[in-house]
Amino acid sequence: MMNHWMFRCKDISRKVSLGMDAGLPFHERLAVEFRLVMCRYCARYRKQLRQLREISGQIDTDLPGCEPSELLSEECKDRIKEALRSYQ
Amino acid sequence: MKDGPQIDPESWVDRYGDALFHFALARVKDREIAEDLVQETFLAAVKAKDRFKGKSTEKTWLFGILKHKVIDHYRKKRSVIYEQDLSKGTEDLDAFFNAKGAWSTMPENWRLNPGKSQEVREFIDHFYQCLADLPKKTAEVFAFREIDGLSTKEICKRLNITASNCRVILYRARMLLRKCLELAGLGPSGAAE
Repeated sequence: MMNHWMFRCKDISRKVSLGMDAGLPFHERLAVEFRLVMCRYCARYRKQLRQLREISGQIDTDLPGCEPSELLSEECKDRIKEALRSYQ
Repeated sequence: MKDGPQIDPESWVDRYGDALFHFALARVKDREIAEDLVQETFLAAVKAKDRFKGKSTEKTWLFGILKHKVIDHYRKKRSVIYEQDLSKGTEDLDAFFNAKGAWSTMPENWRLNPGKSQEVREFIDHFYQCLADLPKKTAEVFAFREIDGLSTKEICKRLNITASNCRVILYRARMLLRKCLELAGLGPSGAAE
């Protein structure tokens, strides 16, 4: 059986991913945190996975500052509404 | 619909049309294609409205649908589409590590400063392109989990795969996405960790 305090970067990469989906047993969580303190690259890896999650959920919020050309035209809105009416 | 929230598809166009279009245009850089993607999003939402349980906001839900459309759009432009056996293990990911299990290529500190919107936009562009480069099912599992926020249990049920299989696929998706984003030259930022 693997000594949890001896997790290698390869093991950590799996455990961190797993921890984002299913959670880890307490002793493994502790061992992962310990390793993340010891290895800056493993810590970066976790930061990357968190950034992937953040980016996945991101939606634009800077609408107030954008040009009219970046918005949906009234003509197109009417067309889409018509398509929705036809569909229903 | 009996239990879900009240839905008024035509009002979506006025409430969320601009935001969805702005997002789509930023990704595909073509007005006509962006308009088509927004229209397809609303139509797909109407078809799937019984699935909307009100767990997320209407806006987040519609954005989720649009993001799938954007990934499909990028994928259609690829000359090669990778299909993958979902039961595949992680042996091919061993290349990320040396014989002692240490990183063979060190993870980088990505340029993703929330204060710099141009950096974030560039990152998001690469992110969706990299997602489209993944084997289709792998990208699908990742999108269900991270974009739609489904639990692994819900993903397993939807795709008829085991929980351990689902976790392996998510691990693979994350590792490959990281690699793709790093190849796109998004690091290092030089920012403090």
